[in-house]
Amino acid sequence: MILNSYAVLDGFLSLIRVILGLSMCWLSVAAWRAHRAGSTPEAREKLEDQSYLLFLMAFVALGLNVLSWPVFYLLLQSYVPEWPGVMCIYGVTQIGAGSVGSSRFLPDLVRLLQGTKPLLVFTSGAWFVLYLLNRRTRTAPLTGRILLLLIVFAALSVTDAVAETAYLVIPKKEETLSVGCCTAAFDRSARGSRFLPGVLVEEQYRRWLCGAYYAVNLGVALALFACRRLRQRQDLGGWTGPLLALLALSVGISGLFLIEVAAPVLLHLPYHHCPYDLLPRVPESMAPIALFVLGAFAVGWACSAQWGGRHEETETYLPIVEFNLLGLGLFGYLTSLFLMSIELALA
Amino acid sequence: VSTRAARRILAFVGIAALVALPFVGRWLRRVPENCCALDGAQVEPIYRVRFEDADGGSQEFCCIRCAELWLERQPHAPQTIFVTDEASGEMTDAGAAYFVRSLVVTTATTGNRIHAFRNRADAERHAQVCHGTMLNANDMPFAAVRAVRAQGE
Repeated sequence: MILNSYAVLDGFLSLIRVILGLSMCWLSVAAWRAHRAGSTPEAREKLEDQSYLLFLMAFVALGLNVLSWPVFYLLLQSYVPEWPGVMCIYGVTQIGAGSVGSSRFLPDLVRLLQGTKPLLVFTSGAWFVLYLLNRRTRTAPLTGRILLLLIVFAALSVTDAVAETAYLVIPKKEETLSVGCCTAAFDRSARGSRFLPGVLVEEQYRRWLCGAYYAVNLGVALALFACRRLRQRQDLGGWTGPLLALLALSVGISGLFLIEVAAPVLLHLPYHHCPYDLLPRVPESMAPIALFVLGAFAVGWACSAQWGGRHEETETYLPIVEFNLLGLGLFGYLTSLFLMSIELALA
Repeated sequence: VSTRAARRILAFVGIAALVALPFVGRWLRRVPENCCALDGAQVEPIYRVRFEDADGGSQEFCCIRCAELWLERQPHAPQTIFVTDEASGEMTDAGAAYFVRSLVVTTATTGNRIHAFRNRADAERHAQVCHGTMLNANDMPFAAVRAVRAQGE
């Protein structure tokens, strides 16, 4: 175990999240059973009593889950000086690859954590949106759905925290990289982008990728603006599918743009495509990335509210929640695009 | 100040801070770092490689491997390639240098194991001590550039 201030902070957060997650799992399953079992006044009172503690714990877990995402990357960044062959987070993620001891699990754990962190924040947010909707109703008709989502949220939280604790505890000192850091992975013609059409990734066609990035993101912003206007008059209904498809396209194109265009320009290294290098060398570029994630998540939360929050008692409040979430998404997309443009222009 | 006005002021300050971030970041990094032109790694003087173009421009690299990766992507070869003689620490023309591939890694971040020497005796000594192989004309770094130059001459 490599002990530094980030490791202590991350370990502390993980420990609290494990305890909270396990308690939430147990309480939410019990509450869901109570919800299904009875409609008597006593049963409802018991469920209400359980819910206060459960939802309070869920709020704390939500905050900790959001906090644990950047802390995890700061932890990985703090490990960079530990190995001579590592120059960025990418190298840290490869430590343990090809070894036979317990360290062989490290790359898989990092991959798992890089997937569960955004999923956890998204699930927490979706739960919170449904919770807000339910609170505005008279008879709390969404309680069952909220409790189900809370079970998923708690299980994910425990998985993430346990994986993070395991990552912290597994010894890493004796493992070294045999193939070099990100230069070998991102700068060779053999990198993953080779599977994509040359018109998107080859150097002479980068302007098409730039065009696609701006077109898709402005398209999403325009679609969000239109959906907001539409939401004031009618139900989003069939629009959520195309909106999510456009969102997925924008996530893909923006990710590719970050690796193929933005990273080399912002780093002032025309052939270096490592996005992990942006964190220590151009930390302000995290702002447009975080805003993009916020925008994409807000749209996802609006869609989950549309699917999970529909009930006759939520008819008055659901449009307001969706309108605000779409507005948050619009803000995230536009400010991300604006800030990225400024940073590229300055670079 | 009413709550609504306070919120507006807070939102304005937040957005202004966001917009100012790229400018502040750029201002803080105004002094250029001495780093490899390919991957931005710190350049160790003993393994430094330098390309000089006909227009006077130059690029520095942390190792021979980075320099080769850079060269693969260039439409035109640089006018001069300098490598560092590991025995003396001085720069020498790559065309006249001797190269050895040995077990010693020069730059851990790239895994480069090719070493440059001005004198054949130093190169052979390194090859013997570090279980290396002297590279022949075909295996040598920057072989393509040298071939083009030889044709020109």
